[in-house]
Amino acid sequence: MLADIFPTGYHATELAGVRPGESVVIYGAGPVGLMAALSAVTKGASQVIVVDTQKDRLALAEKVGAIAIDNTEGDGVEKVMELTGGKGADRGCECVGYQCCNLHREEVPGLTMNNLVASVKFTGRIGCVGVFVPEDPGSEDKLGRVGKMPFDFGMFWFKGQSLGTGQCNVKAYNRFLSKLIEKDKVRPSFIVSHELPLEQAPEGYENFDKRKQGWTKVVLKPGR
Amino acid sequence: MKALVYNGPCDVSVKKVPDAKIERPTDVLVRITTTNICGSDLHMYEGRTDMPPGRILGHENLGEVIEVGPAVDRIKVGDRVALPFNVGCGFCENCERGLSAYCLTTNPGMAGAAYGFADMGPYAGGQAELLRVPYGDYNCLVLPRAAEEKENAT
Repeated sequence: MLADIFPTGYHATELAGVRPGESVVIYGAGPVGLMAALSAVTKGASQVIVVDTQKDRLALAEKVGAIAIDNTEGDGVEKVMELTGGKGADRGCECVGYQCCNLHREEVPGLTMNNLVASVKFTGRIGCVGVFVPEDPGSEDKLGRVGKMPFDFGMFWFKGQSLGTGQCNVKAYNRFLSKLIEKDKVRPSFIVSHELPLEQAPEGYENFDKRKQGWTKVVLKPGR
Repeated sequence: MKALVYNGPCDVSVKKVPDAKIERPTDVLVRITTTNICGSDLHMYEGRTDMPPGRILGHENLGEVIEVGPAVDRIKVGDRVALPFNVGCGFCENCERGLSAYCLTTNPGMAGAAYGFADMGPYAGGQAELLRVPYGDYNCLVLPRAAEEKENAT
């Protein structure tokens, strides 16, 4: 977990500027979103809200003390606003990326970012670690093919929000995050659903790619 | 060695490939004990990148050092190491500032390199028995002895 997702989830909270006592909304309950939730809880956020459409993953978010919002059961943005007294969350994390989908499993590249603009407070900050790419020739979306997306920049500006983006500098965090694991303060492996020998990696890819129920994180063991 | 190879969209298989080995004096060779499938591997798996067929995937790697290059000073054979997905050099303008995801020398013409990843340099992935780690002294995080127990208690 220290090679990528735990530091990357932590990086999302750093880019968003999460401080103790603040509220955080996280879009995406995949492994990185769950690590962002774990990081925000560890940092002492007063309210950590995770939005997704997959029940098995949202259940894991609840396990670390986050409030899970299932977007298939009503408008996630509205629920975040309710939970934060109509103000919006202090901080937001994007942990999905350019292949984010609407409720019909159609890719809508700007969906999570625009939901964050809507559900983060005026002057709030957003950290975006979900992967976005300069070009995506395989996209069904015309703008997506050239790495663009409709972004609610007017509302983003009007709310005075700010944004941090990009890949995680793992070395900036991995040493101190490893101490949290060593001293039993956190256990990021709570997300691991399958441990397979290397030979079964193709099966792991297929099921993880299909978001098959219960396949939240696949760990491969080449030595077995 | 055995490795997970990308053949094309939604097609990966475990194949026999040439062993990873020390190529530069600053390299470390790691026997992989745990390597994960990442959500970002799926962009490549689905054929949504320009990943060429034949490459080995895997950037969430953990293992044991089995050989070190002659210019490696800190890392020892037998160390258990977690490898950041970033491949950094440690001496460029960005690495110096702690921005190892944007290393300027390990992926010339771009910024930032990673194991087994489209457009992020030529480095083979770690979903394999062995992994070559460039600039081993800089990139390896040495884990405490008790790490092995935790690694296998997931």
